[in-house]
Amino acid sequence: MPVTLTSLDDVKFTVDKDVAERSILIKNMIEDVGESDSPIPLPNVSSAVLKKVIEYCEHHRNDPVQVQDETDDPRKRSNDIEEWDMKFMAVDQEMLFEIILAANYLDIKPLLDVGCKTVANIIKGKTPEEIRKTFNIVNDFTPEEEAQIKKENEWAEDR
Amino acid sequence: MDSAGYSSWSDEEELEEEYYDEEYDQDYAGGYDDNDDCDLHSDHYGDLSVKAKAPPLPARPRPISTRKPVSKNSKSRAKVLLSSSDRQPPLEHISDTAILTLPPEVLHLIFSYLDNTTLCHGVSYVSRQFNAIAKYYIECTWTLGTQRDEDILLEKLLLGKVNVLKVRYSASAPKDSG
Repeated sequence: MPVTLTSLDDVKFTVDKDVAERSILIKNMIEDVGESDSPIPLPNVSSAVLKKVIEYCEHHRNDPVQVQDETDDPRKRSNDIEEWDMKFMAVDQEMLFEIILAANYLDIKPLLDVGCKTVANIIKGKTPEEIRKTFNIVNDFTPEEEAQIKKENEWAEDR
Repeated sequence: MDSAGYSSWSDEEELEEEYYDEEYDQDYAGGYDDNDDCDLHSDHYGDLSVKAKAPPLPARPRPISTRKPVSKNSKSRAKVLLSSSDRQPPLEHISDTAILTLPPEVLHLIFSYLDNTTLCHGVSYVSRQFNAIAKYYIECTWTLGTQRDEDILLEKLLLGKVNVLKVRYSASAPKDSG
């Protein structure tokens, strides 16, 4: 049974139910409301982003439901992104963050994870100045604060 | 550090700001009252344009929130406003959806894919917000850390690479506060 989703800019997308239900938010909404022809409003997602999200969900429609990561290691790996996902995430920064926000809002954990891994990979190996430049972040530290952080982080110094 | 687009904005802004500086100095020639508000975006700016003898500025909206906030305690806020080193790109050059607009829980998730060295020596120095989240993340990791984290820490302690008191302080901070 198809499901109609309405984006922030009032664009309608009709997708299969199993595709739409990759989003836990939508799945719960369908369960709560029951079978209905009414479109599901997604006021936090623009049509451009929703199109990308649907593309992801359609590609991963047959993936098994992701179980909670039971490993006790809080440090996760970011180098295990599938090739298709990597290409899918090869978008400009604005779209990347929009996809992450949409995945967070729609509760699509695998998509959120891929987005976060992509950002983590961008950060890895960069100096603070390079990170600032990459993400257009202003350094709001005073020299004294920077010195203080350096002092605080001495304990993590490797050599 | 300025990009090309940034520079073109800066040139235009500089002319406008110099003009503003003249007016500002005339208006405050009798002395500067620290209680006065010299915000460029307030009504005060409109008053100045009425009082000025020079031709009016072109009706172009000034970019908002492009400068660091000016301290009320500053003795020369005008100078601070005009300082070229404080300039930041106007809004049109900043993406609406920047990394800093991501909710903290998402930033936490991103940082969970980074190692402690990157967090401590890279992310922590980026900005205050990044520092706060990275610091919190590091503390939580060590406090609620895994056996592997403890092993790494122990190894560092044995090799004398870590200041024991610092580690204890960092690791126990959330517990103490909780």
